[in-house]
Amino acid sequence: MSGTGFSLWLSLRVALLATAVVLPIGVLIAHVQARWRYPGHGLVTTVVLLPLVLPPTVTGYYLVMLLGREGLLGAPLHQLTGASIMFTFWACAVTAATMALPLVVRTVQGAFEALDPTYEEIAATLGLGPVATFLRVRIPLAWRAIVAAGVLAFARAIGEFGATMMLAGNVPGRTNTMPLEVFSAYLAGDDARAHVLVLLLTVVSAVVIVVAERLARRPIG
Amino acid sequence: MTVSIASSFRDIGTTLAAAFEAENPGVAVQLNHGPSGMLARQIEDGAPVDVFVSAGWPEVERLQKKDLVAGEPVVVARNRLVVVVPEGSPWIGKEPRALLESSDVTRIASGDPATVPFGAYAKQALEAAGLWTTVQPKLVFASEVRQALTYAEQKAVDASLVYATDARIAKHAVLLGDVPGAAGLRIETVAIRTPRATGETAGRFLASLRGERARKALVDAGFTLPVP
Amino acid sequence: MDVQPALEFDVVLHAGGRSWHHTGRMDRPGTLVLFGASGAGKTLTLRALAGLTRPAGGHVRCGGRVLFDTATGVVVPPQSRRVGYVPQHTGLFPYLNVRGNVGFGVPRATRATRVDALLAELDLVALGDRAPASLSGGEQQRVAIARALAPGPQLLLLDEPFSALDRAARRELRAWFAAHVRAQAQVVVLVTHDAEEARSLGDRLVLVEDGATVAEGAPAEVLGRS
Repeated sequence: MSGTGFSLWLSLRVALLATAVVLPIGVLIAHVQARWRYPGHGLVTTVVLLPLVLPPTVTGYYLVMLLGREGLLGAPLHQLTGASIMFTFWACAVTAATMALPLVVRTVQGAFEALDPTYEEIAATLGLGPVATFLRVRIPLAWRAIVAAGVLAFARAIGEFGATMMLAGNVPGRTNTMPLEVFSAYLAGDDARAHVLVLLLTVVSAVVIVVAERLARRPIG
Repeated sequence: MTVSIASSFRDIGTTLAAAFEAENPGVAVQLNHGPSGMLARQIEDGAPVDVFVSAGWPEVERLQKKDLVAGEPVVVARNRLVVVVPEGSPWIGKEPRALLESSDVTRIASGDPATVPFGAYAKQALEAAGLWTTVQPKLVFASEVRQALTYAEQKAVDASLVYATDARIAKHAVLLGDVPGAAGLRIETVAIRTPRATGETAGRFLASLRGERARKALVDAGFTLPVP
Repeated sequence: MDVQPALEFDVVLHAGGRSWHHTGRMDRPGTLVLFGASGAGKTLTLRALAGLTRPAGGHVRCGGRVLFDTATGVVVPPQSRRVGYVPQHTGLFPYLNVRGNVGFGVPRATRATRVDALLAELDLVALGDRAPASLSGGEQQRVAIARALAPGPQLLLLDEPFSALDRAARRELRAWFAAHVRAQAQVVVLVTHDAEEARSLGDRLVLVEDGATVAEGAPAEVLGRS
């Protein structure tokens, strides 16, 4: 069942890439939002959280409007490079990342806001500048939340379906992720295949959860 | 009465259902549409559907194997499988075969042969024409034939393999020609009655799909009439 | 010749609708005790000396360096002040052991040696690999002070370091402080409301009351008077 193998590998790659990109970006956004009140603060919160609240097809629609062949950003991109992101691996990754980002920001921002400022003040008196304090104090203190955010992001990314179909389509051997394959097998009446795919997805998710629990519990440094 | 109609049959099916309702007061026709594969699956899962108009035989045969077809299937119309390209495409006026063989063409929209008839027909046709191995790596699967057409209209693909009836309503896509190898295929819209359907209504509806009014509407829409 | 005082400050602080005006001066290294009842703004003054709070006006000079001066607009950020700060609730980093905490502000190249040396000097070697949560109150205070001392600060600020401890622990800690910390020849500003502590540890005492410095001098004198 090489098709299944490919889909699994594809979904894993998409989810890992999306998580790897979205975690640092999400943590930074969470840091900014937790620390400073600036004009536009509320707007940023709204925009970042939108994919969490909107129906996936609506988010998918916006992504196509933005990145499709004739989209706001997609059209100039096509002019410059002759390429479009639609129907590519990158479309899967971008969609998954878009859906996962709000989960990271929300989880980590809450943790940052709950931190006792004393620790960072002490770090300052010990000679650490803002960047060092962020890396050596803020992140370790919020570590459990960051790991949890990573798990959530991964889960959301690997299960992303509705919006992905719109931007990435169903290109066998290129963008047919696991959830899409499950749906296709279901539609084709191929329950045997559907069962195998569902089982694989469940096992992968369970493994991720276990690994993340271990990571969260380990003290660092 | 609940009628599931394939997306390629949607517009004409809606018109014919309305006409049937008008001629049969007391009958309300509830329409359900989607790709044929999905509609078949719904019936397999026990959905309360009385009549199913499929865009092809594979889905009907699938249901027959599970004893979900009452009586004989009725061929309602015939269709052709064609190649369409986005308007402004450099391939306008050229032969479909040349486009399908060209290495400049990188994306062609069709359907998943396992889940939608227009995908299965495309595969059969291309295999018969010896083009399947060339075309397969370039395929992008649309979930239903109208989406495949949209892909062409949006210039997201270089070409789409759709029904002649869809090519007719295209606004920003141009018909190139028949899909090579499709001439020998039985591309037929097939209607069946499910075992659930009680009474006469379902049978009457099927009969109406072969009636005079239906035949006129089908021809207008670009279908070919079934062999009587 | 003008010898710079080891520490000299005169700050005006506003918080929660109240104002404080605190001053203090140490001509030579030693321990300055800020003495007064709770709520007298002593913590705020320590934070101002550390650079964590900006006073509304005044100046802070430490051993010839100007850390803060509204007249010239100088505001040195905390990380550049070479100040050690131990708040009332220690704030030991929960995710590091004692060695990790103590060496936190020391550059990596010299960290290991400095931590070893300091733990030995302060009689804390046995605690090296322990987690902060497993330490007693007194042990936590000692580690927090060690951490503040490790980078070699000019000024050490302690906010009621012994108040949360029972009498026995307090006495033990005072002895430890006298034996080890004072020997580091720092300028120490110690906040307390315990007279016994002030008398035994302070070289100089500033009495604060009603938002202002009321008296300044040798502890025995100032406290003896009131």
